[in-house]
Amino acid sequence: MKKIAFYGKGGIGKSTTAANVSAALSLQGKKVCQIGCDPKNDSTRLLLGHICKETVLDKVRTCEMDSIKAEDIVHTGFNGITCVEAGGPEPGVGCAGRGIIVALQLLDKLKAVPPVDVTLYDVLGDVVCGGFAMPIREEYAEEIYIISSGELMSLYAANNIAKGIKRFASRGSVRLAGIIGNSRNTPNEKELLEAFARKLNSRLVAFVPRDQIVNVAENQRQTVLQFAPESRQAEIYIKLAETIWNNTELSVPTPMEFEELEALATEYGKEP
Amino acid sequence: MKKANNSEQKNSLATKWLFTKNRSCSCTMPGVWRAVSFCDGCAVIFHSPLGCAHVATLMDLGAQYRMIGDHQNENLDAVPMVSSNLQEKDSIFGGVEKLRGCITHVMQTWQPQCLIIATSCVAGVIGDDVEQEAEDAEKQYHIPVLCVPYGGFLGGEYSDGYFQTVRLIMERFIKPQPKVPGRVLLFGDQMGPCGQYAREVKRLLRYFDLDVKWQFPGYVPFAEWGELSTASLLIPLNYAGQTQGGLEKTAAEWTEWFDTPSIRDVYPVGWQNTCAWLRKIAEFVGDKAKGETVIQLEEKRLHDYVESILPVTKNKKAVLGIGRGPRWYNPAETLNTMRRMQMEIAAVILYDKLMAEEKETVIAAVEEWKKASQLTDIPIIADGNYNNCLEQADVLLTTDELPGNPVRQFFIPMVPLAGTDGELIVMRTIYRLLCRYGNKGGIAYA
Repeated sequence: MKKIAFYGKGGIGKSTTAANVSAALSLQGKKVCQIGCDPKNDSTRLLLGHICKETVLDKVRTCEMDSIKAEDIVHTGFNGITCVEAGGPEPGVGCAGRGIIVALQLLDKLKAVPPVDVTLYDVLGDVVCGGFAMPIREEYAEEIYIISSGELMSLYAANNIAKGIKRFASRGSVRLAGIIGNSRNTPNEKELLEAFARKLNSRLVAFVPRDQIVNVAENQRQTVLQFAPESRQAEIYIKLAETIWNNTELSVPTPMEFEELEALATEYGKEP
Repeated sequence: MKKANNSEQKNSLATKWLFTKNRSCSCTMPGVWRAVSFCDGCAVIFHSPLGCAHVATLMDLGAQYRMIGDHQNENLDAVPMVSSNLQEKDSIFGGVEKLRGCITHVMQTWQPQCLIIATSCVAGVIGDDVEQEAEDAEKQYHIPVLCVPYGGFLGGEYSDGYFQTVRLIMERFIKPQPKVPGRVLLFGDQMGPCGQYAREVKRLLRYFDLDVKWQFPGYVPFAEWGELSTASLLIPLNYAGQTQGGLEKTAAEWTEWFDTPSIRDVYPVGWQNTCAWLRKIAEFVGDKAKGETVIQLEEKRLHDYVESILPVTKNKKAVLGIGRGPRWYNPAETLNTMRRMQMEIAAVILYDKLMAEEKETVIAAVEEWKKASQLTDIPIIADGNYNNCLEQADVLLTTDELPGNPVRQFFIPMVPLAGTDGELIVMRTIYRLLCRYGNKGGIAYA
């Protein structure tokens, strides 16, 4: 079973990419489970067709731990994809990181996720605390993909995530599996991302161009694979899913100092 | 006067995260509890998991056992202390609901006149807005609600919790006012009003017609907090170690804020210090001659007692064993006691647990005493090779028990014994130890 995780700067398109990759993998005949690790619980929206109302932590909050059953928190989405949302506290209270830890441990305890070919963890933003490092630290996921655009702050977040992966790689099997470029149409974006990936001792596994079809599909609460399966964008996600499925080039990342990163962005980020 | 603006800071502290130089790795919450634990009319909430309350309970139990060991019939009722019982769920979703429920429960059950809330590590890590809850509770129940949001071990340690609670009380409830002559306020804990320290201070003060009205902070009913500044004299009770700094600093602030004289530069621990302290008291009451008379009377008590025990103690080989750092222990007083009992000070030994810097400081203190006492031949053994020395000794006066060692041991108390009575207690315990039949060892505690 492949255990992968998507990390990246907030708003960079992790959940959209994750849902489309999950959809593509399932259409290729794989059994897929997508686990959203974000208090916003919107990772599986495009797969379920709605915001998940019954997250793991919703149940933790309202029920006794011992009374929670797997079927309360595991849902089935597009093409039979198993969907789970960890959920979390209201903004500004409690500790979402702790929530992720509890949610993942509960899923383990209940053996809630049925046997699948691919489990995909879609994790909130940066590795802001130990809780959000949980999928890496406890080896829930072994192959980490970082989603980034060519924007400096997105690269900065990606570099920080690489630092987290490096830390945990030294004591376990977690590895950086590649960078997924999600275009924001910045100058020389693909070249910059390729160079960035090389610097991290990795590679750009895909470059997803910006396309309005993604937004249109999202507005319809669907993945591109479901909304426009014949579209060019759907092809790109299908290819990305194949790449992920076949990817064996895993590495221990070599994150950069900020100055080096800045110099890289400056070098490529000039107007054409 | 440097008091904080009450309306702005009644529930908050200027600094929530304290970084102290010498950490003892303790928790702030038991300090908060101890500061008000016998203040009738108060209730304390630990915004914490249940286990944190257990620490305070054990601390109280230990204090109770010490009082019983001291043959004191302490009969103080502690105020309610309740934990909000934070659990896993609360660490994820926030614990303010639990706190709110806990406040309601406390208000309905005990109707306190003042509520004090201390916060735990869990509350600190998840960032519960406890101060807001305290303000809301204050509005809802129309009682003062003090909040000490130090986050358990995270924001400080025991003494920080203790003294910041004192500071909040001082800022909020105490104002300068005319003094009542002869009324004394003891400041600090030292095992409370029934402890040897407070009893002895009260006894000595009676020579000067000074009456101890209160012992602050832990033992004054809430209803009387407002009267505390009517005391005409503040007497801090000596603390060992780190808390000493907090005690002196807070006592200095009390003096500055409320115009109450205090005696802070000497404490009645050890006979020489007791004499100096008595002279300070005499100076305060404007009767230096009275001070000398009292010293003579007390000195005679000591002298008479020493005369009675000399047949047993004289020329006995005694060793002083030190494993307590200079922040907690000054060897000079014990050495003076040994000398007073005319024992032969065979050696001073330093245990391995002392850090290198501590050893240096302790050695310097012992050397200074040797020089002043003209007893320069006493060896100091700091390399651990003291077994031969102990084999030949009649008694070991030690800061640390040596279990299994056949030498008779007198355990030097952690809480200093005060005044003449303190000196007598120490000598009597050593004397009785030496009177034990045969060469049996064992450990005696004062």
